[in-house]
Amino acid sequence: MSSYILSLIIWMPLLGAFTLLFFNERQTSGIKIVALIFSLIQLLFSIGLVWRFDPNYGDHLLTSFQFVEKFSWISMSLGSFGSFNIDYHLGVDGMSLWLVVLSSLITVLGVLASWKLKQQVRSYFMLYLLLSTSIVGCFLALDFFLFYLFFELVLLPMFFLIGLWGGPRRSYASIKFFIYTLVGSLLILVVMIALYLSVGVLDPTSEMMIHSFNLLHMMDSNYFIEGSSLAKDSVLTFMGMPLRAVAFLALFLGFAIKLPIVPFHTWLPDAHVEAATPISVILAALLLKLGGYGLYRIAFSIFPDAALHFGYYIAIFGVLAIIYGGLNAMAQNDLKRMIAYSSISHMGFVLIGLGSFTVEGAAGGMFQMIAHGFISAALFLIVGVLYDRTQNRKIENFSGLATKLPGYSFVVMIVFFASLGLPGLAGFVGELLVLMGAFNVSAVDGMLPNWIGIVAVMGLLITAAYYLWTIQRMFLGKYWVREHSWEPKMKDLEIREWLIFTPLILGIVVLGMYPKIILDTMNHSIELFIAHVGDLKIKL
Amino acid sequence: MKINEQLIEIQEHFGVISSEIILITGSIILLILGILRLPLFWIKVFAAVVLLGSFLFAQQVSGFFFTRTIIRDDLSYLMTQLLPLITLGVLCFKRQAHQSYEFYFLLMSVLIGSLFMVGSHNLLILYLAIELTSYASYLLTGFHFNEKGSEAAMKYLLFGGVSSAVMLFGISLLYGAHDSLYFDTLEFSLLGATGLFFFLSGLFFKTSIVPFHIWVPATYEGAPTDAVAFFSTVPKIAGFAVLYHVFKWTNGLFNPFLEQLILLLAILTIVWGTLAALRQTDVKRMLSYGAVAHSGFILPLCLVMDTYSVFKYYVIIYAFMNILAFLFVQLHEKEGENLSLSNVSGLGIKFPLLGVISVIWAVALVGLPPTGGFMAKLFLFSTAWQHYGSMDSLYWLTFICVGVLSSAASLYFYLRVPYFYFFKEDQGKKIKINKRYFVILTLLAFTLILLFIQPNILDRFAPMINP
Amino acid sequence: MIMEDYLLALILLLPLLGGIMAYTIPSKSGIIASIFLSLTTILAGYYLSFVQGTLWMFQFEWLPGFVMGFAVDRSSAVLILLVSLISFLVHLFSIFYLSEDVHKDRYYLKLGFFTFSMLGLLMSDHLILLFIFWELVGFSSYLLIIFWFQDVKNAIAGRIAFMTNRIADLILFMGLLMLLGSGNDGFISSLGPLPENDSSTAIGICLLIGVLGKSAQFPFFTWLPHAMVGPTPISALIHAATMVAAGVYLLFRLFIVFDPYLLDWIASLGIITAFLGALIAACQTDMKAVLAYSTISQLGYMVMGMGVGAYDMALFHLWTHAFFKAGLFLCAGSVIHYLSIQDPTTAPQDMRRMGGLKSYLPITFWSYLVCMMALVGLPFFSGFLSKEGIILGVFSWAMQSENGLAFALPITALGISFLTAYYMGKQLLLVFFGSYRGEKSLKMLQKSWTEILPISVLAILSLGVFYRIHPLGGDLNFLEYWLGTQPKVEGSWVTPMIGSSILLVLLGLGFSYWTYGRQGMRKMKSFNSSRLSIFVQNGFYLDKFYMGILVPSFDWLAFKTSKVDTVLINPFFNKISVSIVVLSKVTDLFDRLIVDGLISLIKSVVQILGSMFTKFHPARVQIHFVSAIIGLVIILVWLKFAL
Repeated sequence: MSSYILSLIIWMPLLGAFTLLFFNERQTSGIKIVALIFSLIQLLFSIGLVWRFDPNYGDHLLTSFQFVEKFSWISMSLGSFGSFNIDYHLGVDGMSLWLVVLSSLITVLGVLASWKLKQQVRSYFMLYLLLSTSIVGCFLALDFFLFYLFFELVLLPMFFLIGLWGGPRRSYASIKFFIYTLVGSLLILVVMIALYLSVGVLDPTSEMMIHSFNLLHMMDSNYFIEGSSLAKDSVLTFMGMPLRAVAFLALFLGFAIKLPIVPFHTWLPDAHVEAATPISVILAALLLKLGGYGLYRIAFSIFPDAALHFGYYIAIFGVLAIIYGGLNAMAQNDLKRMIAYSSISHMGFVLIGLGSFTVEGAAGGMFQMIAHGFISAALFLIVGVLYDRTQNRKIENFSGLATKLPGYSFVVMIVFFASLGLPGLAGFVGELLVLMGAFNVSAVDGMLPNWIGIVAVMGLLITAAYYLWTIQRMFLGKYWVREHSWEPKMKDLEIREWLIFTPLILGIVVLGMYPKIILDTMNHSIELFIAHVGDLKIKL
Repeated sequence: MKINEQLIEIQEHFGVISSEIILITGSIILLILGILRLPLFWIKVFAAVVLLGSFLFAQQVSGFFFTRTIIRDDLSYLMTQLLPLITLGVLCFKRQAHQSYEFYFLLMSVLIGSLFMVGSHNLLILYLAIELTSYASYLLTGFHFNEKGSEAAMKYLLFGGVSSAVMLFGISLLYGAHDSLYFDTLEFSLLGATGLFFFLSGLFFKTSIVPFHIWVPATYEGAPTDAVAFFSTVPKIAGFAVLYHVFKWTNGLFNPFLEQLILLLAILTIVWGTLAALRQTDVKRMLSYGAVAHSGFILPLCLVMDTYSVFKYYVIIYAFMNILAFLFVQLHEKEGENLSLSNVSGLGIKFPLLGVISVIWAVALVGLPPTGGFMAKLFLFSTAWQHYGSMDSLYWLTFICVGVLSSAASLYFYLRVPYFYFFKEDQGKKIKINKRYFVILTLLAFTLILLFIQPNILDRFAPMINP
Repeated sequence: MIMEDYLLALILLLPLLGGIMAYTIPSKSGIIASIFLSLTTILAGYYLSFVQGTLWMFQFEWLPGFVMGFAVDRSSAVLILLVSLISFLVHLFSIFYLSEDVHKDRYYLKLGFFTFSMLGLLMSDHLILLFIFWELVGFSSYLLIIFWFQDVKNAIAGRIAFMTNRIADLILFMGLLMLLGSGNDGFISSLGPLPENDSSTAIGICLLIGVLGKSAQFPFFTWLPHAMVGPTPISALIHAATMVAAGVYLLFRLFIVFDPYLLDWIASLGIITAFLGALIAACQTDMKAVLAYSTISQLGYMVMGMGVGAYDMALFHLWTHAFFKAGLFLCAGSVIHYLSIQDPTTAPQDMRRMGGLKSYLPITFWSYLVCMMALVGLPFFSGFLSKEGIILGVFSWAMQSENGLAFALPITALGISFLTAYYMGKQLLLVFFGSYRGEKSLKMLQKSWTEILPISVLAILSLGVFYRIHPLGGDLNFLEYWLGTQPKVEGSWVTPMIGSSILLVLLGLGFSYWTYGRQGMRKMKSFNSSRLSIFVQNGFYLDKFYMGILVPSFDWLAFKTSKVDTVLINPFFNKISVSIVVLSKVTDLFDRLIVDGLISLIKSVVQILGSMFTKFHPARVQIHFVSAIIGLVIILVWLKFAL
């Protein structure tokens, strides 16, 4: 299956960004149309990808990637290392497929959501398209170096997008975002280097060790060089812990900061509150998923033994995030901040799903990410609608909006209830699967005790509490807004906004009612993933 | 060997140092041309021709020459290729016609000294070469001819004098211990080790390793920006090359203690440089501390053998980044005034391209993709991990951790330039920028990115004789 | 059986479709929705007529490897007919009740959605599918409760109702997940008894809590009175006939899973709720609240019936109760609607200011009377048959029980008969007899058929003849036909039992007449004056406890947690950055002091020395030489002596 569809998907937005170079800063509508066209093309390609995707490809995690593109990119000789090889290596499997589709879709919607932007339009869209390229690149890279490149490349455009087009405290938020995630990614960098030096094949002709960044090699224990620092039999320790465990923890932390997990989450509310609406959407719907995807594709797949060892603690972190994020959301009076904390809470389920080491759990975590992609995007757009009209997001400044803005309130109702896990909408399925995984495990081999699932369910209750409370305070009751000057602006959704919300709501409803669309294509990969991790389970 | 034979040998060996000879002749001619009061452009052209000549006529040979006082190997070949090119980059900086030929003469003197430093295999020759670079540097520092410049030159002179005295003392101890001034005859002894340490401290001074770095901020602040760009690259890289040579040839002297000491110094340098840079408002001062931190990164590369490629890659990238950064700084400077961060506030709207370039060099200096700076750091950390893995030495691990953390911290200060550029309000200060420099800046920035995408193009540059 | 697939799909989807159609055509919304519902009812009836004995099943793969299914057997088919019939009648009544409301379209959409969810709940044969519809039922009930959301009180009430439900639902969810986790495939029709261990008890408790929540049992019953703020037809449909019965239905479905030990507890909780509910109902002044608490009480009966194993009778009671309670609520709706037009005040539901409505609303009155007779359990009315069945079941269970305390249950149940009769009699007297106690004089209103028809149909269906020809027993048994053969309760105690029950009902009615009818309405002023009765009237302040202590403490927890972020985590990382900044200042300062300090020291020393020495330096060169030579001589001399 040789085709360049993956490259096309990745580079299409970048091509758009280059096209924008030929535009004048003042041709705003032209710039927007170009951005829209290129993101739409990307979306079309990703839909085509789904079309041609074979859900039952491969019988092992390492051979289950489709549309693989592999070229030697950098190959240089560096003294004692042997040669330094980096491949341009792309591939897609059931886990990344839907994340790619989600990214392309959210990109298109984000362009629509930024339609009213007035200042520095060209730079904005160039950065925006660059961001899109790097996010999709992350999901498709099969070379650790390439992945890391895209992973880092996300930071810079995001930094500027928050810092230049954000709210009043945008510079603080952007720097906080940058530093937090950079610390995480530097941890990943160190592990990446260590892995690179531990993985290799002996070149039969020159008898030189050829190291590589190939993720597939890193996942395969056969490729580890005997006696290297991260080999299975490595005796190296760091502060009394085996080096493999430390490396896993470093990767985990690196990705989990992005997810985010609780003590390292404070960048998220700040970044969200300050960022403009489309950027918040990207941040919540896609950027958080990079962390989750990294855990699946890299941390767990490369160090299954260490992951199994820490599975319980990871699930505890998940529970902590659920409860802590939920309680925090409850206490916020800024709508956007509340939603940001609810994101933290929802991402906790991904960790539980991973920690359960079951097909249900892992699939649930993955599904939760995609569902959350739709839901959180819609949530932040909802805040954006209000903010566009009033430049205000305080919950107590509004009341009874349902009377004045029925269409908007209809959307809010669906999205809020999807987020609180109402069955029939997307939010429920992921949580159901994760909890099924968690409870399954407790019955089968006692890896996760029952209380994890029980406390996680309590988290759902908290979610319901703050969403209902918000609905009651903002949308029900007598219509009232704090400032008189807002009155004329309080109009219901316009066509452009309906255009943005419709696909999201469709997605939420369809995913909730018929999750099989996604899970069918994903399931095989998840099974292989669990089989890959489970191999070691038997050995232990 | 009789004198006669030696003389004949020396005569024969002149071809080996052809690039140095071209430089010497060229610089003398430059000095003479200065009397003609040629326009600045032609002076630059002439200097460029001389530098290019030395670059082109560099000889790739291997062995000892001039009665074993001069050594030629891959590293010295690399330096004879690289250092003139960097100097060529320094020529791109803007400069008043007034006394420019002296300036370029001194610049070339430093270059010549640096090349001899790298080529020497004898402590005495090395000392002489270092002194040559030092004196010329002192003069260059004061080239502003204002009080601040003189003060900087004075400081530099004082510290340089002390350090060269210490170094000479170390050399005498080494001689006393081994009866020889050649690198390869040095062996381990207590006296020798003491001597080596004193000697090294002289080199550490040149390469601005903590605690011998204290001249750096003051000097960089006071000296003309093109001179700073030059100092931070040519003599420094040469100093590291010498360190590389010394460690290579004095392998017998080595015991783990010294290795640990040097790693400790490297870690200290990184930490110190990063911390001190955090709150600077003067861009040059900030960059100078950043340069100190970078010295800490390069130092361990000299310590371990067979890292030639990594060393080469790192110093080349480092030179690129620094030239670009200082060129950028000089572009925004007003006459006789140092650039402070507030001066660039809000320029991003007027000069978005410059803003993007500032992002590129800042990101490169931090060591993030997609710039060559990332590749350099990647190679460096790979080397460090390799050594940690093979030796299980905690020092190497600490070095990696500190290096990584300082990268994160350095992001904060390096990114302040683009941060002020884009995020702050425009202060209405009029800054004239010559648009011609945009081309050079863009080219350099593009090269930095290219060096990320295809780092192996450097394989072609100064290839090893026996890879 | 392809035809059955389509038929049931139609039954399930028609209400939803009707709602959507009603929403799209707002002007005729009520009629359209009712037509769709009537179709559903007819289809359900048709289906019921041939379903006999067969079991319909439809399975589909919802998630990969995770099959769910619908199944309908006779007991669910009966309930499907019940739900669609009552829903249809409520639709009709709503046309009348909401004739003035502008948001009728939205109302019918929500109502259709509710009916759809409830039918789905009855049809689903998989635990997760059941839970999905279970939640949808709760959600649509929330939507309907907040239908008049412009009044924030309604919004709050809706939220409280939903949240209380949600708590119980999530615990149920846990139980279902644990049930699935213990190796069950989740099909209700293939459930078997669990192996006895800790987890089976945990599962049972979780499931039980879910039941208690949805069926508004103690201690969760506080939500049902809150739910009464919705339009009265909604109360009739959801909070009397259908949704609250879901818990009982679930209990019926999962009966096999519960430990016998747990079943005793279920029975006890049921009787407690029944008793408390009746007690509270007796102290209410609000017309709908009486009915709400009465519903709680009757549901307690059903739960108790389930607990003692008389699940057939409990289900039967569910059926009969649905009709007469829906009828009662619709009557209340008719009264409230009438009064709110005739005499608009802030409290149109307060019984203290009603009275004498018998002559103004004759049809309502007669229907109310019939339904009430059914509720209190007088012979010839449907409630009698089912209630007696439950009481007999409880009694025979108590006879078989080894524990003597078990007799407390049937005895209490008899006591509740008395209470029920008392409060219903009281309501009847207060509302319909005597003279009107409001300010304005009332007028006779033109009756609309959409008002009369549903009420009278429900009243007629509350007659006993539809269920059993013989008023006190006999052979032609409705249950046997629809629910399969029942174990006969026999014994010499049956007749005295029934007799005493009837007697107690009559006593209750008499007592209410003695207090409220005989002495006229003069006691109205001192109604509920004692502290005890106020305490009981407020539902033992259980709700106040929840809202006043539990919820604020939860809020407090949330607030404190958010403080962790702002007080602990953020400052912690800020402190780190501040300390780095301080460190960097120190480093910088050190550099500056050492460098600049040293340099300026040297500079000043050199300057001082220089100025000193210039004084010694005379101008002439010869003197230089002389001084140099003198200096040399001094050194030589010093060397001489030193060596």
